[in-house]
Amino acid sequence: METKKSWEEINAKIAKGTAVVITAEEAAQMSTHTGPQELAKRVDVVTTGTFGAMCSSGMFINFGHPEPPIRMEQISLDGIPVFGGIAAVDAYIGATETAGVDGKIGGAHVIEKLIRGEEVLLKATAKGTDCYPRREIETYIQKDRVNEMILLNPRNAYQNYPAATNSTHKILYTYMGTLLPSFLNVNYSTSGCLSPLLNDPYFRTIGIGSPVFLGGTVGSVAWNGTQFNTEKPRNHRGIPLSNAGTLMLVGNAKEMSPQWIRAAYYEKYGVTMYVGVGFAIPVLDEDMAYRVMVRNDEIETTLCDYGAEGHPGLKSLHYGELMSGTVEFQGKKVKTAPLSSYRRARLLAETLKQRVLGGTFPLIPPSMGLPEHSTVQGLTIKRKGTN
Amino acid sequence: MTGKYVLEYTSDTVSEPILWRLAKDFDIQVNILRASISPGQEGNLLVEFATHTEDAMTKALDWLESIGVTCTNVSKRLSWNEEACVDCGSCSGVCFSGAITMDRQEWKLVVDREKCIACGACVKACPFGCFVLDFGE
Repeated sequence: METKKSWEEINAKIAKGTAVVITAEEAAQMSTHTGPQELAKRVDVVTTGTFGAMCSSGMFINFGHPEPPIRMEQISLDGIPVFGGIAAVDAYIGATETAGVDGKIGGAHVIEKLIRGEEVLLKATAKGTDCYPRREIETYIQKDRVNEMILLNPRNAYQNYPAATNSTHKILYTYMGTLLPSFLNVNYSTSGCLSPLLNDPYFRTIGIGSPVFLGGTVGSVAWNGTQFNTEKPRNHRGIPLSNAGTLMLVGNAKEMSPQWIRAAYYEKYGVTMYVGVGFAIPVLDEDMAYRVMVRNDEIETTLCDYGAEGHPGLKSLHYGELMSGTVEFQGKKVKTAPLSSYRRARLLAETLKQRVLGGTFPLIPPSMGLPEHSTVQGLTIKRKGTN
Repeated sequence: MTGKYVLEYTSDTVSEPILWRLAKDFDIQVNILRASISPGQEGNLLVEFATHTEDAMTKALDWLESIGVTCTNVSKRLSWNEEACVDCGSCSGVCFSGAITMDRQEWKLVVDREKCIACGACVKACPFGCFVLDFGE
């Protein structure tokens, strides 16, 4: 008879201290000598993790009202412009926002500084209104002196991502890192078998309202992420062959840690932010067991040429190859390098395991599912009213 | 024995054909790995010296210093801020000297500064600015 466990049953086992929690890497290792039937019986929860660059990230902040009050319009933090087109003292710090020609310091650095508890210079101006008479302000803000710091990332935790190489004769500096000329290297992202959305490829346990390990604290899935795509071709294992699902994540940045939120700069590309994201996946039945047992050699992605227009796909590679350090391409051995930290992904999944066991990371079913069908469209350039 | 050095000099202080002297008078095998020479101004060379004895190497380096050439061991040129490093490995794909590799069991970055040829690729590849290479730039 097939093993079936409800969320409540798994939570009861966690409360009793009898739950078995392992990481997705351990589940993948078990697949060499155990089947999904056995794993479903023996394991209750599988933890995942990733720590990589997630450009589509940012933080809402509420500064508090000064006396007399101001309806802030042009706002900067440490010289970085932040979005103030919302209520008087609310703002959104975009991770990739920069200032000046250098552009090596940006919103992500401001976010990291605030999370670290450091002081940041706030400057704001306004036209002044009857209810908000102040026209300018300059002060140092700090985590404990602002009302809220809420990380809200519109697109995180991409379900798979293409690997990148470069056919041209010059070095390309991209968001996929430094790509050397003439196919001299291949860079890849995602944490393979530990990657959250590759362990639940059809979003059976991850949906709107799901708790998420975000930046070191417990956040929540706010919605599907932008560019959410369910229509990418999948392999026999149900794994999309390139970038597919995404998540919009939200959490209290005051509780986050610089270990899991780090500002980064990609040469000649710009500022981005490394974000630590992980989910605890309940092994509800054999199907979920089968999903979390996915191995690196069963996760394929597309190698794309960032030197050619439209980044055409060149070949399919699996993470077993990518993570080995070299892949074969056009009869040659080509060096590979990761962009996200597998070491940190492992640490995150391990940390999450301990939190689940300790009852400090909740297992809650989604309140709503993610879209069943969603595609991504390009931006067409057209005149008003034409088709 | 071998060693990699950055040699720096200006035309005011050095007018000798130093590599020729090193080979002829000091029996040093010189392999130029990178050169930046502005005629009449300054020279900045990355070289590998090979000798049979430590004594010969010392004599050669002493002579270079005596004529105004600054010699810095390359391994001292590359600094790696291990504390800021997250072991992502972005730098490991652009390092072809074998100085930066990934330990694929622990997924930890391994930096062997002795193998560095000061190409500077890691400096640009690291998203966290963990590498600094001082090469007269």
